Amino acid sequence: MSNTISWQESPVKKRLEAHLPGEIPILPMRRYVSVVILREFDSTAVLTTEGQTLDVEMVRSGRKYSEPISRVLLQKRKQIAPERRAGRAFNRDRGLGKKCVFLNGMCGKCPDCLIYGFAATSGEGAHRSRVLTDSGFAIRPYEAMQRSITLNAIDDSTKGGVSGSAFAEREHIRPQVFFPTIETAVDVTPAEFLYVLRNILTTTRYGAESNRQGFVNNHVVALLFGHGELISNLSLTQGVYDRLREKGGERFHEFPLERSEVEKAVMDVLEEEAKRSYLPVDVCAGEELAAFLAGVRDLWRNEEANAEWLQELESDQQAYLAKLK
Amino acid sequence: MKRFAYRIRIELEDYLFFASMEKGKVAETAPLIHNYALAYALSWAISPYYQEKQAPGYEKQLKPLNEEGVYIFPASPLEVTHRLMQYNTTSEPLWMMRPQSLGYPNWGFIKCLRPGSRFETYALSHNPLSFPPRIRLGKWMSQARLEVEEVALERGTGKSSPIMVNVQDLPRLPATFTSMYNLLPTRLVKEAEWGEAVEGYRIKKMEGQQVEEEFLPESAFWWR
Ligand SMILES: [Zn+2]
Repeated sequence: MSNTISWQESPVKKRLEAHLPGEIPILPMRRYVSVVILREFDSTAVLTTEGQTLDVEMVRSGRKYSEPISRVLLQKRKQIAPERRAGRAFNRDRGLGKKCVFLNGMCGKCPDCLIYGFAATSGEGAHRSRVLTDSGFAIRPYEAMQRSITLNAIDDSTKGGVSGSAFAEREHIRPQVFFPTIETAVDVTPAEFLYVLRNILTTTRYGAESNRQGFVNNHVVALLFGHGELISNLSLTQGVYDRLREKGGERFHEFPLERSEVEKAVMDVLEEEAKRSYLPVDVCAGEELAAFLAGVRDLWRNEEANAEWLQELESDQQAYLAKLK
Repeated sequence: MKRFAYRIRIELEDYLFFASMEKGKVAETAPLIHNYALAYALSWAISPYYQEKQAPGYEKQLKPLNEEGVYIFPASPLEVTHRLMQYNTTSEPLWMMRPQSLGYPNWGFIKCLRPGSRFETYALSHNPLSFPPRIRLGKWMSQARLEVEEVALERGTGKSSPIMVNVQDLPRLPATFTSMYNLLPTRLVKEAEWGEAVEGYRIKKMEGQQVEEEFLPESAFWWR
């Protein structure tokens, strides 16, 4: 068996090349790749505003079911900020963007600035983000979620081992809050897309850096290649709600959700939406996605292939910066 | 000469923010959508990813659309609700997407529009148009869903129009109007009336079971 893994020859790159531009365009070309992510939170601590109350919004429950419900909210800035942080730490390890300060004085030249956008704090110049996101909405209503969390805690404590104190309860609850979210990269090269994907897959903590809680599992459910955006987070969540409620009955939200059930509902919504779309959408999911992600893992674990990818990322961006001059 | 008219409903699927007014520590979002923003959101006009200067070239980028014979009016609210959010530029500098040097305070509040808010507008065109099912708007590039319906149109004249119009895009200034929004880069007014009849179009739309007629004044991007 051959051990040679190369970025240039990899099926990962071939899959991306079929849809994404070979060079970064000056003007929008509208080549979209969406990463559909089911974000699973093990704690709701991170979802609070100013560390106290949960951030909640009243929206229509489903697309079919129209009564309004309160949903816990994952604001878009709370999704992107930690992922950018992961990318910037990775860049610094490679000696890149050392002069680029996120809070003020962005360099405008590193992968972070060029992909996620920047606005100069001194002088002029701004780059639009090529990564688009939306606020995420929890599937279940806030009140029912709270109720099931309490029920779970009681369950755990009656099974023994856990004292009934409020503190212990909090330590042992597993809220399993799911946010179906989509992150869309527009007009990125294959190497740039892998950078965005790396940030998504390696970020496990959302919220303030000092916060010990907020562990998140980002489950990638599908990649969508196309010429536009298929669906918004809100609409996706509402579609998932409809399906789970149809299956589980009116009180489905009083019980913890199974990840596999949620993933299946997400796929159903995406497929239905893809069927309705006037423009072609190429959906990479299931076994094909598993193979794609395994290929990505091989690349990152292989020193040469990893270096090859990063070299291409750099040359893509250098070529773009030269065009801007 | 426009031959096709479309009635467009816009529904927000996320919070929408653009600074239209500042009152102390609150940056407010007006309950309407500027037609230039819509032209960009629909990809009729495009601007490069990188902008050397912060000022966008509206005139240069929008005027070619007049030759193509397409126009879209500003969108008026059908149903809008607000939400106040606190921001802190030291921890979230890009959220405002505007450098601090331009005079934003370090912290304050943003009054944004909530998901579910709905707007309506019209687009006119010489050739048939197709529209994307969703667009992105505002400082946060928030997603919105479009519902588009073709409506009948006829050339005609009129002395008043019930819809929101862009003063910069009108050949003749209205004599009166009910409300005015100073929404950069231009002024938008509602329920404009002219001293004498101006050129435009009558469109027929279904409102429930009834057919209603509305007059839309002839407009072109950056006409004045
Ligand atoms: Zn940078």
